[in-house]
Amino acid sequence: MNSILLRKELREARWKIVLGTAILTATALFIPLAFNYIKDLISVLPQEQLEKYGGIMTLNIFNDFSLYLWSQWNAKNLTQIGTILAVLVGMNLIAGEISGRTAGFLLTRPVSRRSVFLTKALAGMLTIIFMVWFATIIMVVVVNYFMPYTIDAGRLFLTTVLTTLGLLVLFSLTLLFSTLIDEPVKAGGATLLIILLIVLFGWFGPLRFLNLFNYMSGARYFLGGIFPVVPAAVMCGSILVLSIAGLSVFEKKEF
Amino acid sequence: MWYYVDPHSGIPIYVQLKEQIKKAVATGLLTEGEQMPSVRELALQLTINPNTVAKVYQELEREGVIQTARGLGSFVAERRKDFGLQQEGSLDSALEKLMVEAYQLSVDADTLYERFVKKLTTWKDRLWKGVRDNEPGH
Amino acid sequence: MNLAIEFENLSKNFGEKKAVDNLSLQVPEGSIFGFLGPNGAGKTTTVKMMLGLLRPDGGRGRVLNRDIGRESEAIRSKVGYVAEVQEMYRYMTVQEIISFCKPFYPHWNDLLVKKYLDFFQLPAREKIKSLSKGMKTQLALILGMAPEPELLVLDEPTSGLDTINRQEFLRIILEEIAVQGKTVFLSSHLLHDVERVADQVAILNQGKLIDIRPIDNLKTSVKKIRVVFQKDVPEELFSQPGIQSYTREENAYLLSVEDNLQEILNSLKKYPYFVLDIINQNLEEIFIEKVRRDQE
Repeated sequence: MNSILLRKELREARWKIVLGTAILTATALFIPLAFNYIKDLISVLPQEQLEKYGGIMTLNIFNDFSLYLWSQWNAKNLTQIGTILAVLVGMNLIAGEISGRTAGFLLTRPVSRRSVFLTKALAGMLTIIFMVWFATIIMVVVVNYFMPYTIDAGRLFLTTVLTTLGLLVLFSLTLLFSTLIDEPVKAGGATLLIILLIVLFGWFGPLRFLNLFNYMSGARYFLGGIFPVVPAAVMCGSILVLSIAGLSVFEKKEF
Repeated sequence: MWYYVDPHSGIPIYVQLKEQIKKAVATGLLTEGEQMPSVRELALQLTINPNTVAKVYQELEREGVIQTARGLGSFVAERRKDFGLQQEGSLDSALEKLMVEAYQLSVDADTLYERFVKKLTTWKDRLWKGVRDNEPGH
Repeated sequence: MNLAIEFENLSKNFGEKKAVDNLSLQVPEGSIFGFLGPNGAGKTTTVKMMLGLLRPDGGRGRVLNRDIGRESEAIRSKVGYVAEVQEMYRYMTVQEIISFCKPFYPHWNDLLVKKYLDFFQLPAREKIKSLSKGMKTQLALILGMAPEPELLVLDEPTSGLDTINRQEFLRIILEEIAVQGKTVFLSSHLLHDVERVADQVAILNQGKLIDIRPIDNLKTSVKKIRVVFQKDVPEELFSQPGIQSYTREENAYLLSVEDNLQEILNSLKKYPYFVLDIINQNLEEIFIEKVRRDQE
């Protein structure tokens, strides 16, 4: 880890941080504000059609504000937007230095490759954590203090920990591809392809356990109340394994 | 004193510089006791390697052309009065070379003698002028 | 004598291609070492191995008494590096890239940085992306010299500069590095620059070292002899050591000679001749001849 490098990475990511935070925060504020509007809209629609397309869930969430917030945030928007952001933040970190031909300059400074890689990983992770938590905290504060609802902030936060872990897994995967593929856009594309495969696996019964997004939404915890210790540990392990894999590729790489 | 070297000639830079300094001393352009530029100054002035200048100075010192006083710099040495065996050898070989050259050019001995005397007369004043006053024998 | 750089059978392959092939050489401390070779000879590959950007496939290399594989970071803290076309962070200003580099190094000479920013008239607040190629090279030189390196490695440094700026560039390297007794490793195909400042030269071709020696020695011993004999001479005359090759036109010969110049001259003079000339060779002529002979 290296503070000069960390500053450089955060500086390079600054527009991504600003835009990502803005988009997530706007979404986080739109969800609670739209609750009544959507509820009214749905109540005028015919009942059978709703059951046919939306399922029971759609009806239930409008009876419980907490449930609504979670289903729209952790289970939907945060996961989706977060995934895109994780890929956008990660794909440039190594591949960008190669395609911009600055790697030779950076790596001829007296700094170890390990330090370069770990600093980049840290910068990306901090970026993601900041964006996710800034938006989530704003949302909870606005709901609890400025709206006529109360939500269980603790439970939502703990669920967001699970979502964050999932996003960090995806980020670590992107960083690995950014190390393997010398072109940022291709590295991002390759990661999205893998994510698509994960989603496809999720549709097959026996492979359902592979679907990261099921764990990221934190459904078992938010709905069932049992904290998924093993999936959380597996996500932490995946972050570690993917980062170590990226580091060892980076240390062996030739420039 | 202006020095000039052509780095792109087939003659090594150190040879060019050394010959130039020796000639400047011989013709009186550089006078006894005159301070030489430092290695650093000359290297930068000519944009050449300081090691090359240092090598020239070392050889010139060995040949008695300049003298280096530690911490003070290099100075043009007093003209050597002793005429040692080694110097005798180098003078002899220079003369031999002259004769071989003349033979190869098909110049006969008499012509060579005439030309030598003529050349000596013109160079005598230039080279030995300063020395004569110091040497009571002349 | 202390060595700044020492390679022993250093090799690097890219697939089937032997980019650097069993390269062994020594660079004494305090010298200006000219590393010559045509494009694609393996010069940049060698430089990249010295700095840890590439790993050797075989052999051993030491820079400033440290192993290039295991102690790369320590080497880089004492080596200044100026690459051919140095891409730097385009969004940074001149001042920002200087502030970025400074904390990496144990030493940093702020006065030197200021002196040469002024000298080159580099605008400190200008972004790197708006600098010309020549200005980038000048900035790279400042960044390479600021840590007061014990070794300055230059890979085709002057190719982006015009003649006047090149001479200025060399003078600065002499003033700030060579005169201080530090070592310069100058990799270039611009022979004029090398010829002016180098004291040692190595010639690389197709990854192999074809010659290495002091430049003075090269110029004193590598000559051409033009001789026109009055009668036929035996062919054995040209098979003596030191004669690399010769061309003949009736009784006129042009000999390429390396070493043994005096012996060769003496044996030639035994036969009556019309003309006997020794032709001096400058670095470019020696270089072209050596590379051409190596390729045959």
